Amino acid sequence: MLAVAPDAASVAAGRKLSGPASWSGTGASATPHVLWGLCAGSGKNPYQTVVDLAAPAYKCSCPSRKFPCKHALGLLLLWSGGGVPEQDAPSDFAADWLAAREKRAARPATEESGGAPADPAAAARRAAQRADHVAGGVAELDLWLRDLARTGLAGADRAGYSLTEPVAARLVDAQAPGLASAVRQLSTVAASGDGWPGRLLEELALLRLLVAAHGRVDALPTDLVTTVRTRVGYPVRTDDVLAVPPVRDRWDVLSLHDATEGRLTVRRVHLRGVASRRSVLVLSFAAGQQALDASLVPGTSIDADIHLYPGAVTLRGIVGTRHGEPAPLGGAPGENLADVVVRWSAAVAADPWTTEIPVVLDDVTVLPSADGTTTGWAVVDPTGSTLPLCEHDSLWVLLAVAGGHPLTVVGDLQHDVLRARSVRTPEGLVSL
Amino acid sequence: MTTDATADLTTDQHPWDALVSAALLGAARRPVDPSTLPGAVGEVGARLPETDPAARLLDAAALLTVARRAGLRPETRAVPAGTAPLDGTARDRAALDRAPLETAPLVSRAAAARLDGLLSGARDDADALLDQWLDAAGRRGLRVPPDRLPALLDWAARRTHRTAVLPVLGERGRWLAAHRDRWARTLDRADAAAPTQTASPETSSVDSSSVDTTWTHGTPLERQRWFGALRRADAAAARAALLALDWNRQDGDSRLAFVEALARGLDLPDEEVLDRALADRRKDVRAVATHLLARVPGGRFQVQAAARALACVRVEHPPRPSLMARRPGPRIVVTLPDAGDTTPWPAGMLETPRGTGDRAWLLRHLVETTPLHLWTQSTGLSPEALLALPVADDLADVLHLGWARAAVRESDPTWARLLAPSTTGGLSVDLLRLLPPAERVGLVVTTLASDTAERLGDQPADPAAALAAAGRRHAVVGSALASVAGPWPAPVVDAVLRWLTGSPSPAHEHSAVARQASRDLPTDTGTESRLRAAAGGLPPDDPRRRTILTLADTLLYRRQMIEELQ
Repeated sequence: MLAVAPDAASVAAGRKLSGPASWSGTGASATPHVLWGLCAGSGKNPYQTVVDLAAPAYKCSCPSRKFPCKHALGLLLLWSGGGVPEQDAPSDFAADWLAAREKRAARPATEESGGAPADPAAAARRAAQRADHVAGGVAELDLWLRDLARTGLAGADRAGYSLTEPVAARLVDAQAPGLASAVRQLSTVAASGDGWPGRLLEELALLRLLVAAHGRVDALPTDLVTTVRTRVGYPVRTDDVLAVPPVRDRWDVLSLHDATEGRLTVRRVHLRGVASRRSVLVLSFAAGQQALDASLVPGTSIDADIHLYPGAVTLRGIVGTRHGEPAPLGGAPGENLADVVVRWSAAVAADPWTTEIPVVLDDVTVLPSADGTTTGWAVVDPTGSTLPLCEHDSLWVLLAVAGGHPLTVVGDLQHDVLRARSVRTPEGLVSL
Repeated sequence: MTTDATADLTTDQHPWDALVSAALLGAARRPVDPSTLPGAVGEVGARLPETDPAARLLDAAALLTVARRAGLRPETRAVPAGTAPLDGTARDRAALDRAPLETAPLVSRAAAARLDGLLSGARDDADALLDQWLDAAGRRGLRVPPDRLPALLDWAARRTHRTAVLPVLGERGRWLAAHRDRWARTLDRADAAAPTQTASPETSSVDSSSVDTTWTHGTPLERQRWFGALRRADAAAARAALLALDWNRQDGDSRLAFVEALARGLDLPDEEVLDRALADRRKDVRAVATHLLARVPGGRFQVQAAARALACVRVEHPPRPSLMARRPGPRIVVTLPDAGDTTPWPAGMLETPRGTGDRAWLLRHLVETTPLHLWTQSTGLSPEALLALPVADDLADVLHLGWARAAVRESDPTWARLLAPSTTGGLSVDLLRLLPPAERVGLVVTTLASDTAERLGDQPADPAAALAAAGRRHAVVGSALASVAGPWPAPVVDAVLRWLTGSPSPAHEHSAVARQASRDLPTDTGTESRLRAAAGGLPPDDPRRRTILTLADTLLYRRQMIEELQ
């Protein structure tokens, strides 16, 4: 149950709130399958906490950005210890929340029944307008890139955001948010220390490639056009992705990690199909107080339809229809190091802007550096091929779990470096 | 000014480096020709439509970047940065370093999850609870899941008392610790402090009859470990090994570790080694050496300190002034020693803290180092009589502190019993722990009862005096409770429950006792429900109610914690 917690600190905080002294007005009902309770916090009013055990989903009136919050975890622990009395019907605040959620869930369905956009002509006009805006922005970006290449990169490392901000702002206006954030990223690359000119040139060159590709989309294969449009920043509608024929499989949930990108928290979940043997990333986003999708729990598997985002390389998907409850891991097969390298090469060949691919590397041994630091680690396969491991504190956990024995490492291959995210052992999955 | 020549991408310089140089200077000054890129990339480069030098530079860079990224080739030899030159392939090296198989079973999932919570530091009483968790897991012969080992070793490395982690590490924990100096050192110190039976497996492999190659050729850490094991196995052999050593050629950490290891089995012949360490370059080595020298039974420090201390302290029997007047009682008169001579300590070794006189500081150390039986011998008085005597010139505190520390050093219950009431803090707990358990239990019960009685009784008229008296009593209550190891026996439980519900003490003192109780009260359901019932009997707005309920929750937490480790 504690696998739903975002981190160990939340579990500990939840445990602290798992005593009867912290709670009042608790209850649990069988239909709907929910828990609720009031937890005294620092404020005047107690926090109202509701857990929908069927989904699972959580709601709490506290301001925590952790999800689920410590109150929800504490309530779950109290309940699992038998400390929540059975009730016939949910309390008022729990019922309110459930009703609001049902309403939200019902809304897309009604919109869908509305069919196509109200005015196809107006929509087409808007699309053409946007294409004009984007084309203008791309042309300006091309000029800027050429100017930079013509006058030279020397000094770019000390320019700060003044290097990129004007053109990035222009690209935002031109409705090309993908290009804008790629351009903003250049300032970080320029200031990244030793070896920056090489890294900056790589990124500039790839942007120029994107600009060139955008200029001749009519001559490119459909999948590549989709990739180019996505990278430029044309929005992809969820409904369009859901319209793509799904891949139904038993999907093992192998890793989950959150990263903050500006004001946005991005959650990446790595799924691996038992029959399809493919890895898919499911992304969810939350700004500020919004809740991240907590329905995919590492160490479990789901029988579900996955709809893949179209493009030259299909790595990202969304979960469509689920068939039944989550189950234990289904033992989705991994791949060997040579397969991973081939897959990486194919991905870069098809989509040159690929920065990482999710991998499940079987039968590798962790090789720590001899100096007791986390730099210079690698994994080695039975043939003696090695891949460097990305430096990170969690490498010690990887080494502890491996103990010098071969095992399966789940992670992302980022160019020529492996960022380990979790480890699969005979005893189960360990997140790093 | 002339334009530089077109960058040549075919020279021995790597083509990518040539592109980077061109980009730094600018395509205006250093144009590139994509068709000169090597191999297939050059063929594609030749077909590029662009004529603008800037675009040609970027396009060439894009071609090469994608080609390089797509052409990922894993290394087949290990090249970890910062390692010594390697023999053999990475595969060979990996095969050599494998953790031994485990024999001990794992703790339950629930117990491991609770360990995560305790290690995350979200509870402020986590350290005390962790000690109990480790103790319970260790006694049941369980080990920690491997993925928790880094956090547990980090926790142990931050603490002074680390022996509790040893039993739960398993083979994996010891294997892992060997890969990181900080952890390896932590375990070595823990091994050195642990009772011999739980010491590291190397102990059995130490052969004192021959000079081990570890001792002559090992790394500093290996040698320290070897020496610690030897000292545990054969104190005299360890001493001989140190005497045979060229002391000045050892590194500082090793010298410190060697001297620290002598604490086990300390005896008169060790003085020779310790005297050598007294002249060490490093201050911490000298400090450990003096500390140990003062503890060598019948050693030079004790003999010299005793001679000086006994000369400083004398019992004075004043003459009867007249036949009619009551004769004043005897008293102790102290002549402070000459601070210019710090014998037996080398000059400069005793650093007087600010606010203390040099001579009083020296006296305290002399008294502390003097064997206690010499005082009764030289004065002809029993400890009771001696400690009851008034001391001239307000030097009673210094003298009694010296005696109290001597009592702890000698583990003497008679002196400890007499001195405990007049000491405070950790020293007072150390003294009380020398008393028989039943006596300590009795002391807790009477201390708590009299504290409540005094608070409820007439308060002194002067509020400052009342506050001071209450503070003193609180310190006594704390020491008495700390002297009884948990889980507390029934009489202590009863007394504490009575105190928690009945004492009108201020909130901070109340929660301080509750904190001690949350660690040491037994975790049975009976005690927990007594607490909940007691809280229920208090008015709802009484702050003690919340403290007691939280205490009951902690007992519940501890009970679940222990149950998970069954």
